[in-house]
Amino acid sequence: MTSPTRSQHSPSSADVASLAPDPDSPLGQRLRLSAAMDGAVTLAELEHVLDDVEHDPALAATWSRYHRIGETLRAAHSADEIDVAFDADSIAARVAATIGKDAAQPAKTEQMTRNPVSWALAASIVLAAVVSVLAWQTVDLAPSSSAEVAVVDPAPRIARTQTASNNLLPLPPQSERIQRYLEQHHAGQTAGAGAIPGILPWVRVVGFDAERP
Amino acid sequence: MPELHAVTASPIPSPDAERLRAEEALLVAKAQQGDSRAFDLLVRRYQHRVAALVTRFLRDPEEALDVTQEAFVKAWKALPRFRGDSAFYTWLYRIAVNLAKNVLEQRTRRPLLMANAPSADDDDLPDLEPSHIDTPEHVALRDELHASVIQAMRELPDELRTALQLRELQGMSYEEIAIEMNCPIGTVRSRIFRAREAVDRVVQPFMRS
Amino acid sequence: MTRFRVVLLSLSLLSANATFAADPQQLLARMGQAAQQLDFDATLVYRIGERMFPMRLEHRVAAQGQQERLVRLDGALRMVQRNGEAVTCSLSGADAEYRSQALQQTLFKRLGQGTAMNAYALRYLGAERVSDRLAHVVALDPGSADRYGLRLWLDQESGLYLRAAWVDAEGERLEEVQLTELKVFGDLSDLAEQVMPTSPSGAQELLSQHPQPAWLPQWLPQGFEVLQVHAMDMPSTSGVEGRVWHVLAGDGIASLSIVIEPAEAEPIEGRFALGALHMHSDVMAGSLQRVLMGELPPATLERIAESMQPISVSPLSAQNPS
Repeated sequence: MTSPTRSQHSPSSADVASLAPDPDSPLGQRLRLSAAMDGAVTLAELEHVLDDVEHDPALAATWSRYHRIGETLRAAHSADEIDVAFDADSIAARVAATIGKDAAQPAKTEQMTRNPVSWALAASIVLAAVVSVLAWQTVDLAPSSSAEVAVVDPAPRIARTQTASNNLLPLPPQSERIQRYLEQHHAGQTAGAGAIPGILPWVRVVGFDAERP
Repeated sequence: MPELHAVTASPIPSPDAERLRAEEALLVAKAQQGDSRAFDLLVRRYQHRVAALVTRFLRDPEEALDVTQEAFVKAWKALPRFRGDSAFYTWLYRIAVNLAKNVLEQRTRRPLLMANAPSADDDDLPDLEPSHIDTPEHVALRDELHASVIQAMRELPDELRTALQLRELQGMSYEEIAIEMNCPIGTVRSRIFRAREAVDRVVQPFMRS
Repeated sequence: MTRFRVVLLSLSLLSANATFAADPQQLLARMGQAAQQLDFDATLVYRIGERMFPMRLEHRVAAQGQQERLVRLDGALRMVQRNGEAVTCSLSGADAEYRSQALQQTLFKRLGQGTAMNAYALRYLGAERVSDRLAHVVALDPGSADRYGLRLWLDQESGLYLRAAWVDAEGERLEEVQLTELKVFGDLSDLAEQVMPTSPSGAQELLSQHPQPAWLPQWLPQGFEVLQVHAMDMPSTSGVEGRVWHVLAGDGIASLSIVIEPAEAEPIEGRFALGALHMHSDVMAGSLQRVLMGELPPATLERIAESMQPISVSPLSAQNPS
């Protein structure tokens, strides 16, 4: 979008108020909030807004109400209906409380911001394109057979578990982790690891009832 | 030969989805970095829309409230995986709809069907008809809010009303409004804000818990 | 059609493709080509245990790559879409996307090189009628009990799969998918040789970037190869910080995924089954959640699990032997 040509415009009395108020005054804060709604703020200004809202619940409520105004205006012009059944910001309060409980992990935030590029890659669950087929010997991977690989401090042998082969459970459907493992495994099949090409192998996953508790 | 169309949900009536994405890009980015304050603003931005959406599936307001809350919590947890291919609200919409459908599913479990010949219409994915809550109180409140906002708009000075309408109804950016109204961007910012302040005074009573 | 005419038709088809029909390796190669290069729509039923799931599969070849969609037709809307190398799952609350570059060697090259052939007997079982279409039946039978077998019914006209079933050592079907209706678009006559993607950099390079030990199986069933090794620093599926390892291995028929990530307070432990897919999950080295998942009998998974050792790669020895 090309930048607009700004005409010389002498301020009228109506525009005197457009001279910006003190940004840290309540008026200034709300003005900045209004602009943030429309994405018309810099990152620094947005930081201010987030700070302001954090310390002033009334400002948060103002944000919600400004949005309701827009929604109401649009609803008045279309068939959409805006429900007023819900208390203002009760949802936001409940969500904030839930998230606050779960996210007691400041390290998580740091991890994510430390290296934006690698985080962006990791943030989507990616089976990175890796390698040519490794010529591992299929029978014996002992270090002597490969000059490049050294076994360092091998873990103690895993205790032999019970081998009763009929002692199997069906995959628990509620587990999100298992769902992810399943999806990753089948993504490997689509990449060519299995006999059936394409996404047909995913019938197993699509038929898997992952009900949320 | 029939073409495969991507299955998307695109519920945004206006303004333009593309614009919205650009506007809230900063907020979404900050939220993805773990800033819960930014996410809080996103919640506040969309809470009523999501609640209204969920209510169309689930009649019970308490249940709708729970599912709405759950949708946002789910979105927060899944935010690292949001790639920005769709607008944030589109993505949020899908989460909420799926949650609402799951709840309905658990109530009205249908028996498995044998495979039959496919219908002629290939886009016939199972769809649940949403239902509206239309209690007399809701209707009355809604109408009153509408009327109050419209009235407040009428009472605004022309340039304030125009600025707000161009922003909220046309989805124009500040730069575009500045061109349209032949004024500096700072003036646009101020006019929109003052319009909102004026209308806010009549909206406040409706929003008090 | 009277039975007489059906018999005549199938005979004539067979005689026209006499050598073609009898060669299971060619049939498999043709299946791969058809699945990659044809535009088709199919309705199918997936059977596992006592349950049946009707689904729809659509496949298109676009300029930017293959596009596919698999949708469940009843119950909750569950769907997987593929666009080139990206697979998007709409299976739970939020979509998840997976990207995987096509592996360098496909099934057929591997079969051709004989590595998997030693482990499977490839047989042509004859012709059969499936979903009102004529099919060649191909069997892949493992030579030992350490893995499962596969039966494929391949459409004579297009080469596409009409039915696929995993079978165990007793010949019991563990799970099965059957196309009940198939519509193929376009010209069937020109299926090109499959295009092999070029291989990116070697595994040693990747391993050398991660100084912490990788865990690799010391034993894999004959014919199995490690296909991908991947480590990521991210919140794992468990939500706990740390390094997550993925290992993908396969013999061209069966595949195996190994995931190692930091264990959370309630780790997943146990052995599970989903059709031919088995999962072995436990805690290793005190704090690592280990999951092995693959189309392999549980005893095989266990043996692989027991053989896993931490491997450390020295970058110097890998690239500049001094």
